[in-house]
Amino acid sequence: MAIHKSSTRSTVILLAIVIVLASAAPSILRAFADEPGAGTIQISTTGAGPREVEETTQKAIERQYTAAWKNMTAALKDNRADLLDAAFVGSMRDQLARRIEQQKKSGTSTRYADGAHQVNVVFYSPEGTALELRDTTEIEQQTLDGSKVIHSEKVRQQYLVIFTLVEDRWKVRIMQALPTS
Amino acid sequence: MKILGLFLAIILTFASAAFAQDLQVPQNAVAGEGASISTSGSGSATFYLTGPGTSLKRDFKRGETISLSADDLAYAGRYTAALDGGGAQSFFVTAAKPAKLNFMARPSRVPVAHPDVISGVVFVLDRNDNLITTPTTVNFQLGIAGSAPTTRPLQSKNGIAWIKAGSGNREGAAQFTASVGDISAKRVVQQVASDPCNLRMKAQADGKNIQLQTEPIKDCSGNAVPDGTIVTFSESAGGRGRSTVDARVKHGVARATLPSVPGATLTVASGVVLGNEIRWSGGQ
Repeated sequence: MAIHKSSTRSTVILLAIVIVLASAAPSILRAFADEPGAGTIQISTTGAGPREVEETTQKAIERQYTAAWKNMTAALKDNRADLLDAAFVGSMRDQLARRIEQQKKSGTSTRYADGAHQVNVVFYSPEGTALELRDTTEIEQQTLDGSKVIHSEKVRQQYLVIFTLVEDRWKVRIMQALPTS
Repeated sequence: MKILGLFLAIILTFASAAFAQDLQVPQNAVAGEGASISTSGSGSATFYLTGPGTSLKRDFKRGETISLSADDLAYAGRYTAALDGGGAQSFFVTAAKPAKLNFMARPSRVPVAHPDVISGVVFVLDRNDNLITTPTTVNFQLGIAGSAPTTRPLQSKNGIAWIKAGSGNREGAAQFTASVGDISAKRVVQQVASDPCNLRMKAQADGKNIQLQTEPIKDCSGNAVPDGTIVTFSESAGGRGRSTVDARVKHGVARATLPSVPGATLTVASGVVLGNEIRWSGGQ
């Protein structure tokens, strides 16, 4: 009799949990849908100037900026400067290559995990060969010595990024973290 | 149990705060200038510095000051100093004073007397190519030798200053200069004659033909149009057909020979510019 009573109670509790979860599911799913996923880059061109950003340029920048983060993350994790050429050029490429060289010498590496990016185009040059973005993102950065994690931190960071058109591709020439106000 | 958890949390908070205080990072570091990080405590430890263009690992004795060279802090951005036993501090390095101007001027060749045809974009950089984000006055100057240049000071925003300017009235190599203090960058924009203005021709009988020749072809500002410019001469003789000759300007004028058809209408044009019209009476 006691066993029967207990199993009935468990069934009722289980049913209650299922009902609560089922009723909450739409809101949970909506919340996830509204929240941009990790590494997603949304570019807004509102307020960009003096030239209006063409739709094809906006798509190209989204693609190249996504690639830049992906390549930078992989290059700093595995200490591979060869991964930089596809998305970086000039002083930014040199800067990352120098850091990788130093990491290699000291046996260290850096792991980045970037969250969603909120990107605004703040400048697009009149002749259409240079573009500046302001990106706000949350990044998790880990400093490793060999496989040992020395330091781990999560920060909200703002970057100024300058893209220039190199041959037929947009590449990052400057990517500078801004002091938090 | 709850009290024990709270106690542990307090201990952890104090411990991390204590580790953080092991490092005193610079507050106003400037790119390309050295700085130091003071440490406290005793015993050996390993120091790590990560930042743009930098990844340092050094053994040191706690309590010592860690010197960072100008090269260690060459780039502007966020740096993190960490110790292997725990404890880390972050700091920002800002760009130094302007030392370079990355100046893009377009196009390299423009027709004279056209508004907003020349654009100039300047990226204000320090000597290590860091973008100077504080507003900086950039002076743009555009002029041709022998005439007073046009100067416009503009404030940079997010490290960039830009201008759109019209071309001058005289053809020749215009000097387009951007400067910040005593740093300047110069580009040359070749100003060429614009479309022909007041295109006129004269006709002369030459046996069974007509010799057509324009007057010296100039634009509306009085600049001679470049040799090679195409001028089209046409002869329309009603039901008796139409002849057209494209001729290139040579030494400032264009010439063509067309068959002499009495009563024909002779016209001249260059691009969208139409010249005068002659009704050919047969050389009379």
